[in-house]
Amino acid sequence: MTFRLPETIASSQDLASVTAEIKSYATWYMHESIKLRVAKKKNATLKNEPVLSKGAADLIREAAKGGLDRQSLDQLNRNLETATKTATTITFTLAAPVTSSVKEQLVAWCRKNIGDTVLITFQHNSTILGGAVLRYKSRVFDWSFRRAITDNASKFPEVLRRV
Amino acid sequence: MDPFFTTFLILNALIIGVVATLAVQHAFAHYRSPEAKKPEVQSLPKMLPEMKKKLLDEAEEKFRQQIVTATTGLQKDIEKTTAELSTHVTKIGGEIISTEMQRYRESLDALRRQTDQIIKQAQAGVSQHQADLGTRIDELRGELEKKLQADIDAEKEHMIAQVDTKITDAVTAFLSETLQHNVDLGSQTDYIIGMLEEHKDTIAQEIRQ
Repeated sequence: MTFRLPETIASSQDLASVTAEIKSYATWYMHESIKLRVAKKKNATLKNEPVLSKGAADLIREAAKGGLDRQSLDQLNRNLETATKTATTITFTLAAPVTSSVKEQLVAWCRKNIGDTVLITFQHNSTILGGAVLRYKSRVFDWSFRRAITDNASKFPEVLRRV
Repeated sequence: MDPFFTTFLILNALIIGVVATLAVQHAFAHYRSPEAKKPEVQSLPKMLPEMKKKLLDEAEEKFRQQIVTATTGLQKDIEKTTAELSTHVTKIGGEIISTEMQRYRESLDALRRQTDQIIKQAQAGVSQHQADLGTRIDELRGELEKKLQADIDAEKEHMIAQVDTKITDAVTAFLSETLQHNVDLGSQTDYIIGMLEEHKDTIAQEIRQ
């Protein structure tokens, strides 16, 4: 089974935050499990479950499909550490701060078409006017409106003459 | 005139002069030498003084007439010779002058023809040079006109390009100022996804490398 990051975990910061949450959760789960075994009470439940973010909850839910235990949490932690070390990070620059819906659409597309663990960082720069600039390492794909206008500036006089 | 004939005439004139001179000297020697005639006068029979005087007068008169006749003839001959000499000299001079004038005219004609030829050659040279200069000037003018036209066209293109650039910059700046405050990312998502789909293979290839 391949490890796949949910769309809610987009950037490396998100991944680091979720990793910390999962570790904390795993620690809590281990402590509570020990307490549960020591208590040997029937109907005993885990107490004081930490509040998780949506991304962390999704990951734990995905990991708990075969039953939540210490091994699955350890496996999840290892997967997250591996993803942190090996994940590809690309950067989207948009003309305005990214909204959650746009972010989820773009992350979903990247996870589907580029890689399951690809991380996406969003930046905004109003001078690009619109569109997006995709950057991976030194490679830049500029689909901004400014670039389109600049590249087609030579056509503007022809258009102007036709008007 | 023939030079031999001229020499012959001059010799004749000299001989006539010499003969005339000898005749005159002989006549004077014959009639006026007292030493030679004294014995003869003494040997002549005595004549009457009137007769003697008469004979002497007659002889003197005849001698004078002879002298006058000889002198007149000599003068006439001299005048005739002089006239003929003058005529011949005039004729010779005329012929010489005529010959020299002919030669002079021929020389002048030759010089005129030579000068005309030189002038024609010079005119031809000048005409050729003028034609060459005209051709060269036309070529230079053509080149200058082409260069000027090219410069004008280049300047025109440069000015049009500058105007286009200014207008484009102005419109781009206007769009930048206008659009960057009214960005709707939601309406751009389809465009961005479309661009991602269009370059999906390139992006995947870049990341796999």
